[in-house]
Amino acid sequence: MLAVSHVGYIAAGWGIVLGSLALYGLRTVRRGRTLAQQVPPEDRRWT
Amino acid sequence: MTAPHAVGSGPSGSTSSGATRVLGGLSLAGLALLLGYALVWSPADRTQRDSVRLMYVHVPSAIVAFAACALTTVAAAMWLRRRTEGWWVLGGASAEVGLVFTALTLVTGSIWGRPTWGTYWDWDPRITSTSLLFVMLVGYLALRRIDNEAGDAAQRGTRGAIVGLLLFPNVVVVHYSVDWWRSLHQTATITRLDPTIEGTMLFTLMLGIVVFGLIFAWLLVHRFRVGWLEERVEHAGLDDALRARRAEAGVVAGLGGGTA
Repeated sequence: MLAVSHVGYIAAGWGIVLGSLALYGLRTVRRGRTLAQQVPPEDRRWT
Repeated sequence: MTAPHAVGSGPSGSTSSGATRVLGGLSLAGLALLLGYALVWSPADRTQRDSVRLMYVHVPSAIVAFAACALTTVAAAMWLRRRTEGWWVLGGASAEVGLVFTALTLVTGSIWGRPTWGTYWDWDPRITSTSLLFVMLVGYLALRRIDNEAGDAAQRGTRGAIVGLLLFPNVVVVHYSVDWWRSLHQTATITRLDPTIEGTMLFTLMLGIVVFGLIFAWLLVHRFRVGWLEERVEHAGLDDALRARRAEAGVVAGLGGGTA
């Protein structure tokens, strides 16, 4: 088996980035859903 | 408070559209490919060994952050010129997404710095100027929200837009800081005519930039739509308040007329 160096740093770096982007994306989509229910459809030009 | 709109629920009651679903699918597929290349198929570096795998997340984050700052500066300039809602919302959306990527750039740089330079942090010119960029983005977003005593939204927007105009010049400083001052960072690697990186490593880095660009675009579109909806809800709330005030005034006038 190949030995991989600096595994902890690599896991921390990639984990923080992917986790943060996933959480931010989820929060944005959920906020959009909440707000979209408060406006008439004609105000959601993308639908 | 605005009552929930019945037709707003269901699949159309969101910030998603066909385009964002395609963009999201491409982002996820690209990310899976990037993970394969960045963590498995690309070779370790002779000097940095496997810590070089952090480059494939740090550099794309930085490039996307700088692109977001450039977009925010354009939006701020256009808002100052045209004063339209679209530029206002775009400025806020690109700054917020840019703030996330700038924070990730600083964090991943710090993590990569420990095995490479032996330290998590140093007041290196590029790190310092990127930190300044982070503070400016926070300031830009804060100024857009802080009302003055008169509640003048235009003045609030102008103050924020002036900070927005300074973002891209600072990105230029970040880019050239390694040439202008002594720095722990290396000088240009991929923007020169004969890149100092090649083969699978260069391909993985380019793939990372493309994939992070797709993720940025997906986040930006959703955040723009959230900002657009926030404006609509805010205006609807204001309209409701005005209607209630007028109705109240009408009742008072009616009572006054009855007693005259």
